[in-house]
Amino acid sequence: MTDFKLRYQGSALGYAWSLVRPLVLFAILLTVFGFILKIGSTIPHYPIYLLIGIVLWNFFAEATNTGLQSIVGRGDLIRKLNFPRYTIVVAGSISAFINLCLSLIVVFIFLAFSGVELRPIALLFPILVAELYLLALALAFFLAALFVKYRDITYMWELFMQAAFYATPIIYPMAVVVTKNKLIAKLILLNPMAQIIQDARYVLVSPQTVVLSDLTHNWLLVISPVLLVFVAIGLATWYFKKSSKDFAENV
Amino acid sequence: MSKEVAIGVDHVSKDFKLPHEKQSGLKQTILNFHFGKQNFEMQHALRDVSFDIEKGEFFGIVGRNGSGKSTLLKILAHIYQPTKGKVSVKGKLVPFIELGVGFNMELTGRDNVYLNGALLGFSYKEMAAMYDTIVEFAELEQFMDQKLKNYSSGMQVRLAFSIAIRAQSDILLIDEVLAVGDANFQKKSIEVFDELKRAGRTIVFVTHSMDYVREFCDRVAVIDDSKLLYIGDPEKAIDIYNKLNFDRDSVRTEAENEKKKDAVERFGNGNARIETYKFFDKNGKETAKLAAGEPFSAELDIAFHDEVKNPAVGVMFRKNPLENLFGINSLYNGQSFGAKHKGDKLKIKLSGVMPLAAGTYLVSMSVSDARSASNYTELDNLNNALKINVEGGLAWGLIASTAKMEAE
Repeated sequence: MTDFKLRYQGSALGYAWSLVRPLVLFAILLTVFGFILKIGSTIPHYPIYLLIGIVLWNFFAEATNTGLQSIVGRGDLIRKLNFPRYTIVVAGSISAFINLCLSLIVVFIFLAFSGVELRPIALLFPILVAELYLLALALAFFLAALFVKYRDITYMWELFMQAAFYATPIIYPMAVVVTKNKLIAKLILLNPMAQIIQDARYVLVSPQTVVLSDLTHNWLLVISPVLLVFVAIGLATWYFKKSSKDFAENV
Repeated sequence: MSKEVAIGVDHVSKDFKLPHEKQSGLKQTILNFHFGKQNFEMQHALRDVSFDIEKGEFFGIVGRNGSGKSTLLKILAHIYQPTKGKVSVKGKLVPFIELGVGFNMELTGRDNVYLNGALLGFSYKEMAAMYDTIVEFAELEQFMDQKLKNYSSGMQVRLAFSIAIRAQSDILLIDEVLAVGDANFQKKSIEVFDELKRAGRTIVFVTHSMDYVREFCDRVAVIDDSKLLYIGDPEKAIDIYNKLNFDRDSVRTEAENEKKKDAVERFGNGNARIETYKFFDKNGKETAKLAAGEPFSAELDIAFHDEVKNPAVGVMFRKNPLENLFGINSLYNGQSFGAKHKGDKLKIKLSGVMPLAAGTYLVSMSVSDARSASNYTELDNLNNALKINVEGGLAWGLIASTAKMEAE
């Protein structure tokens, strides 16, 4: 695995900036939804809830977006050199992952100051991060290969992400949805992103967080978001491998 | 004793789908699918090409632009997948389709060497072992810790070329990258080619330079029109390649002449008109392609539309519209065709030995009513109406000289 050197592209200052962006978004959302609309007043530690959601979502958005552009953006290399194509996508997701790690440091600093007691179950958090990484990587592979052929994927993905941001319990607490309609709450939590974010809040902040197992006892349904991630990575690598043969002529 | 094969090319074909219009949107795809429309054209870039390159060979690939040789090189490098057929490569292959691919301007020369190595599939350790010889060859020892953007373009190319040359691969693919660096560096590059050859590295070399082909190549493949035209002896290949280029010139000339026929620049009062003009080679075949130093002939048909007392006919060969090379004129030769009346025809036959060396020339023809060399009325003048290709001959310059040299 020598090709990861591609990741050198970011500068040290770039990382600092990538921290500023989620923090500013966090401040805005906290002001609007936390203090003005008082959405989070029912939830203990709403700010930290919000921050975890934003940081995890931001990684997902960054990894999929850089993944989408990665192959086409490196067309000059693809056309002239023969090296494993997946390295470009992986390199892009790694740089997003480094950003995530830096952001998570900020999250843990907030956690320490917010007076939340860390419980042993917090040790499960890395597993959730791994699941998140796999999900993002799967979509990155899929989108990167698709973008070579269909150049309007980028707009569609932008729209999709906008909608998905609100379909995922990032700003609003899940508990509110549950009181309104249980079915919708279930559907929302079947989305792996929602599952990951809620589970992360569960293990890091409070066991009062609504997770899928609170809503259903069907174990197949409970693990289905995780299964979905594995199916996604399987399909995505298959599709990427298949289409990567022709990247050089199509890109 | 059969030699070891480094690259085996087995019945390789490559087709490209060329979309008729830029069609890379989902909407288009769905629409086309819906209407069962195939919105592309198949372009056959390579058709059934087979050959082997032996280990230690310096193998040249030549061909005109668009013949498919670059496609072939990319297939050898596994950048493209062949549509049909198989390519087998034995040993580590390093392609250099273009120098400096993957260089990052923001990184130092040192980092770029390692980055480039990584892209070519070398590990950090392998690159570390090669690093010193690469830098030494590029003569950039003092600059390696500077960012690449502060290099001159010549320095960048030198670095790229050094990586290409010094990377420890078994097979090297090189596409048109030799004309790099200053004179000193070029000389060094040529020496290195010699050295690589002696060291028994397999090299596949795509070029337009017949000098390099002659100097280095053991065997040469000529690709034309997507097919393997010839493979073998370099001198023979050079010959074929030159002929290909010449043929294209003459095809183009004929097409141009055909197009020009209706739009020839002509002037004169129209009392006579050159109706047709034809050139013939020594075998009497009508052509615009003549051989240097060989007999040729021409025919002009002139029709008169009014009284002409002393018609004079002239033909002039020019290198370009301003530079006369040679001509013949009935008036200067003291010939007379007699007075002509309305409705008369005159057929002029012209013959001689083509005195011009290989090249493309313009021919002008005129008929005038002459009282003297300085007092005449232009009746019809076809100015630079025809392009003639001359081929063959040994002379340089414009004239196919018959001068001989002998030792006394």
